[in-house]
Amino acid sequence: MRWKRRQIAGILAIILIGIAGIIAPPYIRYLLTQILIFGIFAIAFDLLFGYTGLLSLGHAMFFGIGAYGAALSMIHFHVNIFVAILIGIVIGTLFSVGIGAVCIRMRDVFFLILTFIFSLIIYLVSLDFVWLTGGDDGINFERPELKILTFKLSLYDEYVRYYFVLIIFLISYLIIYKISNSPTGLAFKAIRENEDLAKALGYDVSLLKLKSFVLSGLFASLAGAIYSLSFGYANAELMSLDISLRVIVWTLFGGAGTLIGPVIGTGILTYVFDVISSITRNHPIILGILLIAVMVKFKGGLYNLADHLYNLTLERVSR
Amino acid sequence: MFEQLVVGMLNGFVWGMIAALIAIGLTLVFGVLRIVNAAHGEFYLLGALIAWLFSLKFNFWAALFVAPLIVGFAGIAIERGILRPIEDNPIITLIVTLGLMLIIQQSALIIFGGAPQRVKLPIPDLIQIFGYTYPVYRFVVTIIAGIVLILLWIFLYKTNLGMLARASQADRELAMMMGVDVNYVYMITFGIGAALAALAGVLAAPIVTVFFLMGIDALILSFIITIVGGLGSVKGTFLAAILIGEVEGIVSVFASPIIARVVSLLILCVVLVIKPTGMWGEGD
Repeated sequence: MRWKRRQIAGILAIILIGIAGIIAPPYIRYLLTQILIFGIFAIAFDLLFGYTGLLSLGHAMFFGIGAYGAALSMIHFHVNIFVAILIGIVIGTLFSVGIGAVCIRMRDVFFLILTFIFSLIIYLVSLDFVWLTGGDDGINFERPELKILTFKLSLYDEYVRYYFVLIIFLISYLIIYKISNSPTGLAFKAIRENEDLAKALGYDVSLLKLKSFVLSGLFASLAGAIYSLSFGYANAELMSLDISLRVIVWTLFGGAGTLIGPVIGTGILTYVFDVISSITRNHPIILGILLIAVMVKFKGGLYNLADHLYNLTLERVSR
Repeated sequence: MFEQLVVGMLNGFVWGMIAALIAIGLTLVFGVLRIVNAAHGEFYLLGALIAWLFSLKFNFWAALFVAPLIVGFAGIAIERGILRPIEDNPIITLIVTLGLMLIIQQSALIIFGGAPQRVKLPIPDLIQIFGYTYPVYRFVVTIIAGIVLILLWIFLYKTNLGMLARASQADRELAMMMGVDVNYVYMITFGIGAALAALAGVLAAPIVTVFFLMGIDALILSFIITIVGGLGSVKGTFLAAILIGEVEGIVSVFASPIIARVVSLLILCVVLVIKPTGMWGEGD
């Protein structure tokens, strides 16, 4: 019963988002494209945080590395779109293996601090290496169209771009959904619930944590690569603390460990932030207040709240 | 080359002493309250801002006393008002203080503007070291920081309140059972931590540029130092501060400061791989 309800809701949502690509005004289409890309980033983050219980305070570093990997390979090696994405993912994954191997040695809050330090230093380096990254201003680049048989994949066409992003979003969502329900995904949950118990049951906790970290880094860099290719630029801000904190707020706001919750959280808050940043330049203040609010007051997130309300009304009706 | 190295080491030592003030504040607050305070760097920023205002309108040296007082009391207010309900859960405190960090940082941007400010050297004298002119002020900074660290040591190990703080750090429940007013100890410890960071901000203001993002830089540095030294250990944090300060001072002779920071990060990685509790940490 529950399973069916979700299935139907999911298909309806996909159809709605699909139609929105055609009928929505350009601003909404642009925003939706952004939300879908950040949505990939959010589910990647949720795999690590919501499922494995590892809160990374610097996940934007993989987003940014993926973005630069794709952008720089396109600029310097003139590769096509798919190869650029692949290079972005490979570089992002390599970084996540190295950084993950160090960070997972530490537990609890020390893990957070380490990811925080790594991401901030990578951000500072990217600001400093202007010859490579363009620093604060970033780099703009041309994205040559790719011919697939008779179809031209041009990311300058906003419709093509929208559906390109949507398809990659759906594929990523499906893969992460499969992972989260696989034996490995269940082992991730076991670590989240009780690390010592999982270890006692014979799970290789360190290896599983590293797996989760690398998978999450992989999809985060995929999101980054698609971001830079879709909008034709990459800058250091993509790996700033601001983005790292946003993904935490999106995930907590939507409901960690639910996959779809973080996407909904991303959708709502990306829109809210877009509105706020058109009013004031000091939007990080709002981010700060939200951060405190979701942590202290709002622990279950929107998704759980909605689920709770739904079950409540169901009980009332059936009575 | 040799002369440059000596100056680099001298700079490293001065920075190490300032960083020790910031990082010991961070480590004390973590050790006693189990709060990982990401807003700690902002106390340093506030100290520097107060120093800048005082040197423009009044007298730099007054800031040395006023800034720790103001920021210390602000810290106490934050601890009582916001952090009290979530103490003892380091992860939640870290996220919440990150929110606080953004709020303080952006408020500073709104009130004081985003332009980097320079504070005039309060002691304009320069001396010659191997052909390099070196400001006397930096020696004074080292001496002041040294005195404050000694006072802190006396407080922690020779006074009643310091003993209670160490007792609360070792075992909170047991301390409470023995009748220690843990909440009072927490309040004072957080205030001292904030005041130390503010003092470091005042001392650093004439050396660095005062900028609304300077707190983040101090935060990264003190996180590296506290983890290398062993989070919660005051002695370890002090030794690590001098070590990291020296390393960054020497590397900065050959490369940019950002490369020096990357080298510190690598040291951190090596230390963690060899001894996850930090070089002078007391184990998990």
